[in-house]
Amino acid sequence: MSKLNKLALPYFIWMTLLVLIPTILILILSLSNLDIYTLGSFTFNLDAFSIFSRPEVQVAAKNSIRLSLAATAICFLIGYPVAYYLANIKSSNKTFFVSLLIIPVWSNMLLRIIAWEKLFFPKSILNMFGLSFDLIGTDTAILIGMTSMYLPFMVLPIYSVLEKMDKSLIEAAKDLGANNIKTFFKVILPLSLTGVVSGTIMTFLPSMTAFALPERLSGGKTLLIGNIIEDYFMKTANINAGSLISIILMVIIIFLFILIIKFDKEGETLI
Amino acid sequence: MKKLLSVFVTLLLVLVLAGCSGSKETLYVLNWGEYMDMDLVAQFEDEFNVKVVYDEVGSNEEMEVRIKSATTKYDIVFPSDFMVDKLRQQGLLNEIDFDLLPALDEVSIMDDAKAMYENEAYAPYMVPYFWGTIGILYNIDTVDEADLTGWDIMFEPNDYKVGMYDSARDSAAAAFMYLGYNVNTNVASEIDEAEAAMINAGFDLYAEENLKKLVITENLDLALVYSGDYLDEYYAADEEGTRINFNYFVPDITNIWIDSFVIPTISENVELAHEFINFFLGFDVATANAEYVGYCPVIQEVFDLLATDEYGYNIENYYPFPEGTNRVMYRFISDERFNRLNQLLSAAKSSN
Repeated sequence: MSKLNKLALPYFIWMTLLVLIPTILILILSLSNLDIYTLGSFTFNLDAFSIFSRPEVQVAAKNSIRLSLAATAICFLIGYPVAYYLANIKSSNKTFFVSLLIIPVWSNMLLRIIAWEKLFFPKSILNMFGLSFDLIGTDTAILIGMTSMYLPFMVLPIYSVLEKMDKSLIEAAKDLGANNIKTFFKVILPLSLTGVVSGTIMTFLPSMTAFALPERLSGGKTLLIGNIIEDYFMKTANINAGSLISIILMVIIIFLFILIIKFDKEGETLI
Repeated sequence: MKKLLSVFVTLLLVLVLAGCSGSKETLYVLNWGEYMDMDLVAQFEDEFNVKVVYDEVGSNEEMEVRIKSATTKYDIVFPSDFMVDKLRQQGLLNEIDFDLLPALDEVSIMDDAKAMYENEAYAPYMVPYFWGTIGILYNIDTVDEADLTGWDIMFEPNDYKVGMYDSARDSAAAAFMYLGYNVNTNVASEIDEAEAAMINAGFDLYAEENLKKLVITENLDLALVYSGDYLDEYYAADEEGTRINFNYFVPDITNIWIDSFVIPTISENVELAHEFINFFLGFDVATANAEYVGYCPVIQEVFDLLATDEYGYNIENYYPFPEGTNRVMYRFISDERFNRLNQLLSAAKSSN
């Protein structure tokens, strides 16, 4: 045990310096008038909460929820069949197909966003093929972007559950007279629910907190809650208000994480 | 356990010490992107046998944040006029010791530039570097030049696709000038009117340095940019020999800015900082630097040399303050006003 403790030391130092201390700092910032640059004395107050009456914060919160729910639904509708297909192909190329899904994730996300942005302007390289889109500034552009970014995070957890599923249960269902549709809804879908929950959360969270993606694909006109945090920290130096929003998002994330663990006790669907 | 800890501490120390190798003096410089010829910085390092640590940021506010946080003790920073004043008011700047700048006796600061700041309270804290305007970059193939009458082309309803700079201060300034108000107004009703004008204008896109490329590729017809954005593209197209399908329109009244050398109070090497400023005021260095940066220099002799057909800078709008035009500088009013301008930009951005 003491040997294990020593090995874990770098981890504890890492977590304390880069996670615990910053989190405490953000928590204090969000509930006080602490000035981040002087870090002197401070008094607790709830001034930062006044931002929720600001129209741009309300608009951003609505946009975040609307667009991330829509993106999650689209990812589920596309992702489940893909995961189902991948889990059931007999071919020896299975690994190849799965890696096709993962490889794009390895390239820088900002580059992929900028690539979409270029294609969505009316004058683009697509003109060579007689195509021209004028999507910048529309929800469609953001939803295509989000779906392409986060689809793998929906597919992989569902795939890993379906892959490990005991196939004899499906055979038993069919033996007992269930047709394909009934087998799917009564056996396969309920058994894969842990994967669906993980996938949903892992798609929903990053799309709700995205900031570079909406900024580039909406031409700066659709604010998400991530953009508000960025503005508060980088442009208006309203760091206490930015911290408050961050803390609220963190609470939501922790809550959803507890939900994943509840559904998926072994944590097998977490990447 | 103790052993492991000591290894860890040693490693940390090595990392920290690696940052300050040797006994050379170090000068910390904080500048805008692509705003200084690094070859000249290397020349300075050789000549004075010092090391220059050079960082870049994208906005005046970031400069202020960096100076206040003082994690790096910057010796030289290049804020714009209003930010020089704000930093001065907070007691973050050292006064410039002009006796340590003998190069200033050899050259002269352009009269028009000097007139902008010499009566300001912050004049003793700065040495000017470059100056320029904000204006409208437009595509000459898609915009009818007869429509270029003033700021109204950005705000009045028309068929043009218009891009706005994603900066609270500059977008609000454009709205104030369109409405005929002073760019530094702090009258609540005038700011409200500017907000309405911006919402009403319904800009097609808010972006930053990518605006210029969007105008050139005809994805936008016109956009608010800095004079340097136009000049950069002009030189690039000129060098590649491509057709120049864009131009820069400066309405009769616009903002003019002067970026300056300042020495923050956190500086631990004030004397060397003065040497650095003095070095960049020298005629040859200033000329080479102005050629690299492309903005209009503030030194008369350098301007006279560059703005000739021979040097190729004899182009319209190189000089930011032609006779008979109206130019206004931003002033630092208050943080509350700046927050209000940011609200205004957010409201306009999320209105459609």
